[in-house]
Amino acid sequence: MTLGTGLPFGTFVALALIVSTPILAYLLYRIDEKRAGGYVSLWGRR
Amino acid sequence: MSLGLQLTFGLYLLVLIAIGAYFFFTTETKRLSDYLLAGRDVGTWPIAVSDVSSVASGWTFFAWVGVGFTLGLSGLWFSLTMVVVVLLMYRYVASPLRRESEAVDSVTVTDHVSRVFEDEPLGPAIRIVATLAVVVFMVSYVGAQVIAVGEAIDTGFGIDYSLAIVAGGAAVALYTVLGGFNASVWTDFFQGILIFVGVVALPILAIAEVGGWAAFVAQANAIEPTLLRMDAGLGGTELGVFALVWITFAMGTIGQPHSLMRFQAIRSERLVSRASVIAVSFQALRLTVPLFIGISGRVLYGTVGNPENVAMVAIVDLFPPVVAGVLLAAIVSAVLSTSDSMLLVTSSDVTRFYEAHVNPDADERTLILVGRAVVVIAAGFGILLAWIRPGTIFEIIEFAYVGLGVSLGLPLLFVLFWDRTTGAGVFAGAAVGLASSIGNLYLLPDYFPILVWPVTLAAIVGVSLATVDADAGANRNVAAAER
Repeated sequence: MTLGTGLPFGTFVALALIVSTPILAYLLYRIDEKRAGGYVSLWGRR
Repeated sequence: MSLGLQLTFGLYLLVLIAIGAYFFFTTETKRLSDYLLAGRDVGTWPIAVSDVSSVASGWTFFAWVGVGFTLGLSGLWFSLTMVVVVLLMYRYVASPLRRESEAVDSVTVTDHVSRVFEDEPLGPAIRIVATLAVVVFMVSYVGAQVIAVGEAIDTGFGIDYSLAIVAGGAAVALYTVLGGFNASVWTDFFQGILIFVGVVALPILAIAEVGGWAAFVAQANAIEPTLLRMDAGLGGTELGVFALVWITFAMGTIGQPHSLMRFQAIRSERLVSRASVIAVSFQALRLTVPLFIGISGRVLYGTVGNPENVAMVAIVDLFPPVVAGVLLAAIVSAVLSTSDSMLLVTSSDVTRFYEAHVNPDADERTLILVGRAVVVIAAGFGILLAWIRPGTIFEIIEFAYVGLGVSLGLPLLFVLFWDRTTGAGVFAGAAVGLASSIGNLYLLPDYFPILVWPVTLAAIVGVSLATVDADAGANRNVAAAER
């Protein structure tokens, strides 16, 4: 469950969430670029 | 002490001051907003990287390493909360703040909440209380940074702590005075890159020294089974309070004026989304890796006198002298970059206070002069605090970070997002935030900073609702400026 890291499950989940936040930021940025001309949007709406 | 190590560090300090001097002699800094916000014309990378390095401070390499050493990965409660809050701040606070800031011509958070209500009876009082909060928390914060600089120079170069805090404080005051926000943004950017190198290189070498990842995990578990656990070995109510302390500490992110200034200075709202990716990535890195450095230090060195100093010891111990010099420069740079941004905010707010209440006829040149004098005086108080050392770096930062969050961040969010917020409500929020931070710390330290949030929140909402009819034109200055 922790991909062989040896870390406890809760710690692994917390680290995975932290690592995925920049990925989420990037995906939201791509949506902003495509649908809102680069402006911050909520579900593609400014 | 190695000559290579000292030369590298000395060269770094010279580069730093050269950047300040460059902007002093080449930029025609005639307007206060040029000095403070670089004319609201700063691009994506400098904004994002300087934002991170402006808060990446002594807490990343000292306080956070100390937490890793003593409490282990339970500090991830804080890291996770802060990364999410940073993302939300970029996505939903930066744009409205940038827009409203230009509309009312504000240069800091204090300036913003004061200007929005400046025509109301409590308008001047908001500026007084908010400026007082900035001075109290920022000088504390700068003091914590100067302690970190002193520790780094003391450990790395064998220079006496007292002399080190004076030299470090003087260096940061000098280049902030010379270059203002332009120099601050560019030195922060330059230092952000160095921080990245330091953050990545140190744990890799430290874990390699332990014997690799598997050995690291095994030895950490052998020394203290709770080091790698989120629950720190606690359960039930104790765990709830423990997690809440971290989460409410991280909530302070909403009110860091030196970070929010970046939003006010960004060239265009269109750059905010892109900047969020860079800022969140750097934050995620710098909020997790130091915990591993601390745990590695525990494995490598066992018990030490000052756990907050473990990263410095490891650098001198594990790296060749010249590389150690660069890494120490990276760490000291992180600390100085936070300090210069803080000094600049303090200077901005006191200068605006001077302009509003002491000398309304002051010309721009006088205001810039006042701003520079405040930088020098605030740095002096920071050095004094570092000399007194009222607590650990972590304790001082926690107090300042939360204090700024409640007394400035909460009122700002209400001003931006709740139309019924009144000047009286903002005044109450700033005053109660300041008082409750001090009260919670000294009267109920075990629950700091959990209690300050609901108390301040209740003050803003309650007073705003009680006065909203009398202040029918809440946020009127923003509305008027936007028309």
